Amino acid sequence: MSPQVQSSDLLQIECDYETSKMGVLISFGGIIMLFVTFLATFSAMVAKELAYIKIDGATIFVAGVTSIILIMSSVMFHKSHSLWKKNKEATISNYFYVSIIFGIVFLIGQINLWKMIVNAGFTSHSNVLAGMVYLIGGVHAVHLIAGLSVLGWLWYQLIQSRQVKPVRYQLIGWFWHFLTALWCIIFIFFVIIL
Amino acid sequence: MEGIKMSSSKSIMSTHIFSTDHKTIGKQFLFLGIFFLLFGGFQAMLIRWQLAYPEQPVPWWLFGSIVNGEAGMITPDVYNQLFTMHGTIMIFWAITPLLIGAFGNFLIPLQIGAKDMAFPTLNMLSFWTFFLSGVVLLVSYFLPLGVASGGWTSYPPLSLPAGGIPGLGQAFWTLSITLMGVATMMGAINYVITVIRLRAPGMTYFRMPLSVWGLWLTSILNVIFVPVIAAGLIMLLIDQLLGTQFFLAGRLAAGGGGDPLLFQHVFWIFGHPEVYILILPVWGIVSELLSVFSRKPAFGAKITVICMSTIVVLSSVVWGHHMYTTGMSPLLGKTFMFLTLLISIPSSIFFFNWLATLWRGSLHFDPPMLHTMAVIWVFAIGGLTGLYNATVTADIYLHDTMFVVGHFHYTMAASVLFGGYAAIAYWYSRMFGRMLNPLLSKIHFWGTFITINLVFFNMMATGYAGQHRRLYNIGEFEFLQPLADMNIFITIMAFFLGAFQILFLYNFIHSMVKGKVAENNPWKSNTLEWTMDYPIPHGNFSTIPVVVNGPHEYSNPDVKDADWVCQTVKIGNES
Amino acid sequence: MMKKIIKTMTGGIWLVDPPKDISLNGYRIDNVIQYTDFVITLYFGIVVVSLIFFIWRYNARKHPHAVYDLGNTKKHRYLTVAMGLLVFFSIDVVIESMAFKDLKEAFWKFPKGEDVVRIEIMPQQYAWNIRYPGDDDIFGTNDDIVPPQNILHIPVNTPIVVQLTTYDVIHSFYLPNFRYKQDATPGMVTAMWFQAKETGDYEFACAELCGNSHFKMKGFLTVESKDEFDNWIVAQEPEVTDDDDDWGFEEEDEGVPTKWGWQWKELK
Repeated sequence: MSPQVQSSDLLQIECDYETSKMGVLISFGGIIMLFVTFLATFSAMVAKELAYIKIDGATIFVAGVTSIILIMSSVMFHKSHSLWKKNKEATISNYFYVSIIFGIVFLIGQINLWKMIVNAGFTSHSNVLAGMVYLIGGVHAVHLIAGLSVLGWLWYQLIQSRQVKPVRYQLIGWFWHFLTALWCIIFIFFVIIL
Repeated sequence: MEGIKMSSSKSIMSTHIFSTDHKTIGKQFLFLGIFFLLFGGFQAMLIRWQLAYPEQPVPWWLFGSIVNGEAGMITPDVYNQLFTMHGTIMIFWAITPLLIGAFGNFLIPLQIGAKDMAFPTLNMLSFWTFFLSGVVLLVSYFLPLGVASGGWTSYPPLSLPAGGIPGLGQAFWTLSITLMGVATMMGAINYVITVIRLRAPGMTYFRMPLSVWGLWLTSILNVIFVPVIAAGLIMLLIDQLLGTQFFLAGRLAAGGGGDPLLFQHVFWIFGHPEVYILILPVWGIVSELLSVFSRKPAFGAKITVICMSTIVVLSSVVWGHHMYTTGMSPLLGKTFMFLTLLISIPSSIFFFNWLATLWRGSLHFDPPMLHTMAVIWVFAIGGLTGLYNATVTADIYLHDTMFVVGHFHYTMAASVLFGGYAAIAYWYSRMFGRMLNPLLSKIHFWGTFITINLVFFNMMATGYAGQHRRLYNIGEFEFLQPLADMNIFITIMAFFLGAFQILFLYNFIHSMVKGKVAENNPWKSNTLEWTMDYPIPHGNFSTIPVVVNGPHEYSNPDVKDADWVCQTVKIGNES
Repeated sequence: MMKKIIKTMTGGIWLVDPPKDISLNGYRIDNVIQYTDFVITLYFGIVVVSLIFFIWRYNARKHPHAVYDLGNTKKHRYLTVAMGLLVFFSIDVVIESMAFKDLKEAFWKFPKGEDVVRIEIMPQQYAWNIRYPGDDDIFGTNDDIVPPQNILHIPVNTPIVVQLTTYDVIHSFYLPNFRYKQDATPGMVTAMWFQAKETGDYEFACAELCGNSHFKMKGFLTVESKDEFDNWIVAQEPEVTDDDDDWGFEEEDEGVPTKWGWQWKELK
């Protein structure tokens, strides 16, 4: 299970694929615990009837559309990854660009969504449930921005025709897919609870 | 993927400041932790002064001029700040870096036979994030309206602007702990993965030293529960700064408001595992050192591991015992009480294993062993007095009294302190190449042991007599007057306790330059960190060792000429 | 000699005494504490004796060769688990059943009936507000009795039910002489009950950090005979409700202007 390494002069010791994969997965576990806490607190607030929030059909529709855009972004990334694996060249495919753009569109969509809910009268100052919706969306968005930054790094590597370690491309994809899945779960949760 | 690079240009920056070598990072955590330990300890001296002599200004020898300029009088708001920051600093900036940051980093790769941590760059980042969090905390001392004063538990609404504490002190507090949590997460992920992935060939899980087990289980708890407190703190922070009302109720909650109790739940869902996070490394280290200094295997090592793991699981469902007086439903109270009491079973089992390790051993009372045995003593008292607090009815009386304070200082302060001193005394030679002065160590030990017991046992007594917590002046209450003398006694003992730690500090620093140069394996231990010369090179092992024994093969009759055998050396019979 | 040992083990180990217990049910808490004192002194005593014995008998000079024993045989495992269970059954199970019984029979069994005196207490930063329902026995009406802050009178040998809440930060209503405390949290109403067995003047305090003057939140409790209590109530002026100063808050607003106070929460 553990790597058998023998070298008398210490050269580059690469921690292997399995280790990186595990590290990323454990970080996902941590992020999941963060959102589980948020969602559990949200549920407790709903159960204690601390506030009421009504989301109209239009808002749900927009939210659904942005969610689908994010899912498409993940799909695009996956396609770009498959293509990159096949070609084994540091080429950058259109799928990759679309993926990033869709990610940005999603974020813009989120901001609009929040504006819509605020305009409906649910501000975070008076309404704890609204506050939680903004907070959870906001923390997710922060993680997404981090994801976009990493995608930006990947874009830069590919543009410069640099070699990218395959595991890195894959794990970046995992992170992006994770954020998409996380958002879907959060969205469904909000729809069910509210 | 991270790699361990031998930088050809070995600048001070890359080898000392931003080193990715786990041993250097471990030492960085050690020094930072000791700094904060002294800072928090000093605050404790001021708190004790105020409790014993409420109407008198702090004297010159306790740096009274720092407090309030020339006047030296501690005012009520400063007193609240003192115990708030004392608790916060000791838990998050003293114990965490000392036990988990320093010894986790230093020991794990060495004891499992790895060249470094799984993610060395992440490791370096975790130290500097931690450093940054400390800076944020200390910067709050320069705020014009003062630092946080809402208690280390920072319950809202007191810790919100609505609670009346002026300024940004509370917000800085919240931010600094969140940052510290990020650093802890980075470290915890690293430790967990390193143990899973980088164990040397032959190093099965049950051949790992128990010190690694303690640190690994701690890290698992950290990974699961630090995000929980992060979530709670983020909500608290935006309540404090952005006017949301998640935890605000009462007069100032416009249009509905939130629920302060939710914060308590989130806080203690993290908070209870946190106290196990703080003690697990000590349990592991004590189990290991008892074996070394009894020249005998750790009795029932596998069972000890199972017990520690069971406690890890149980610790996540008992948080309500911190909240018995909040008015929770009776059924909830009973459930939490039952689950809390269940923890007695694994605790007493592995405690018994400790005693059984000593039985029929050959006990060598070097300084590390003195400290280790002290842990047995103080943890027995601490653990047993926890029973009072687990019982709902007794806790109704004892909650928020000095009894609880005495209890948790026995389990968190005394046990962790002695565990830390044992670890420092034991592994000092691996870190600094020299031995601590044994005479000074022994004087420091006895002074600390005697005074710490006199301080905290009597503290529990004052709590039993009804003295409640966080009181600026116990003279306000008639029913507390009989306790004035006892409070003075505790304070005087506390001053002596503090003085003995100065002795430790002197020993620690002086031995680094003037201590006796150490041999490679002064304690004749089996584990892998003793197999190379000092200074331990970058990459630890020139060839990765192959492990054939468990770590506790002491006094094995099949081993000739010695009562120990390195984990890599074959014995006649495999155990 | 035996008596001295037992006295030391049952509460004497703390060297000081708790405040005088004047309550009906406080003895239960004292009992469970004393039982715990006894057993843990016993167990700790065994640990200390073992340690001393080990230090004397097995120190390296006297016992240069340790006995190689991994402690992992079936017998060892059963033995250690048995020890754990022994501790659990001798301490934990006992105190748990004592506590469950006490909670069921006393602390969570709220008294009902005519002679129960109901009081609403609302601590604030930094004083205790106390409200009696007055003759009509309804809170939030014109005849409520609100004594000056921090003054609490109760009749002896009468069950007292208290409901608590606050409007600023969390406080805790702590009665040392009754071994009882309960938090008062903004946004929720909690309840507790107690009963005094003797008269006298006592103190009560706030047991949850509430700010800079938390240490000064002293309350004065007077326990007196029923007649004296009734006289005292009569001597207090009922709350005047022409005053429009509503700096308090209302739990259930029924259009009744009150300074502070809430509709009594029905308890199960």
